[in-house]
Amino acid sequence: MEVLYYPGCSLKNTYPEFEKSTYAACEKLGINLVEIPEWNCCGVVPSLATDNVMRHLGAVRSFINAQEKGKEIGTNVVVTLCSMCYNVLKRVNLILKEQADVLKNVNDFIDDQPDYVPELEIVHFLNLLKNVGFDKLKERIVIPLRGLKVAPYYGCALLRPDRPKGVPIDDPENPTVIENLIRSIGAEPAEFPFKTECCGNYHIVFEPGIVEMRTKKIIGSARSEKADVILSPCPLCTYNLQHGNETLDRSEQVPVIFFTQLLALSLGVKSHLSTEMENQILKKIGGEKFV
Amino acid sequence: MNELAERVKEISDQNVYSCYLCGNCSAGCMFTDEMDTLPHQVIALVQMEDKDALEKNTSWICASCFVCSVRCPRGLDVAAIMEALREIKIRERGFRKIDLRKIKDIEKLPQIAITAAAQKFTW
Repeated sequence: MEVLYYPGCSLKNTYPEFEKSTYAACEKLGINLVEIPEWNCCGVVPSLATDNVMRHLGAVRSFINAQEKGKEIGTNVVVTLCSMCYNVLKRVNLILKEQADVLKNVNDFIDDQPDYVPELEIVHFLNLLKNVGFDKLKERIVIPLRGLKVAPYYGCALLRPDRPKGVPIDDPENPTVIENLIRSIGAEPAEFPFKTECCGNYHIVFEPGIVEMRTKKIIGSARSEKADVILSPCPLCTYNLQHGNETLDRSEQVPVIFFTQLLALSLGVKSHLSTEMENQILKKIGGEKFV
Repeated sequence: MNELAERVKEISDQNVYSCYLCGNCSAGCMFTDEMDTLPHQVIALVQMEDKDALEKNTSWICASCFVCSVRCPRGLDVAAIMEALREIKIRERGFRKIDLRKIKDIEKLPQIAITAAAQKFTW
């Protein structure tokens, strides 16, 4: 399966392990990620102002490059990993599909690239896995992570808002896709009431106290469910949760890793986890034979 | 519709008069501890054309997590209303909420956080 791939800045700079573990897993699963040429910043947070379409332009420029590359390889599916990117791209694409005046506006403005014909489909990697089928995924697992308790953390951007209709990858109030992934790789999902709560988002820049207040609650909830790790799909959530961990005593911390790292580990390919983390997980799931 | 409500509608496409002040947005909001006024109270201020709505810290504390928007029984995008209140201030000549040059530990922060803050706090 060949699909277009929009990485976003965090996967190239802050958290290369997110991208590398995904590539490793995809190779094993026969998914070929074709990076969009000259993609640029998505804008991170979607503009909610309906009278200003300028903030959509970053996303649209990437769509145009994706569209042209897609013609070459014969696909209209764009996969994202970062939840912030997913939210912005999905939302802008749906707006362009639904609102002809906005589409005309941005196409008129961007005069150095071909027009965007809104036929791309933006898909988050979790839903790509769901489409492949968690049962099929299960058959490919070589290291089942039995005995590992994993807290599935969704954050906001994969689930909300539900407008335009079609943005959430799952039920906004009670999603299960990450739990299904966790089960398919042999681990046990923790019942985790804070799984859809906000980490504090960009307040880390000017009001880190807000992020600390939020992440302490989220980590504390995972901790009380005896989770060994928190699984995150979002680079900003991961940064904030790790920041929250730093403010806690070691005994109260719960390590935060990307869902693709655990997937890669169970598929028997390079997980790009720290050696310490990987050993900790392998020890937990069945002793020394894997270490 | 009063002028302030009109302006909010222009920017966010949300009609604050749809709100019957049930308080569901405020009940679900994870940031109310930090707010001087609850989200539904701010909407009530807009309904009454009380410009104080723009001076409350509520819209600035809102992190656009959209729990309110998902739960509103009237189908209002409350987060978009908060964005409209921010935008009204941001678009004022001479208004400056933050100084991007004064970010502490900028090297340590991921660019995703800085870009997001810049999107929400600046023009």
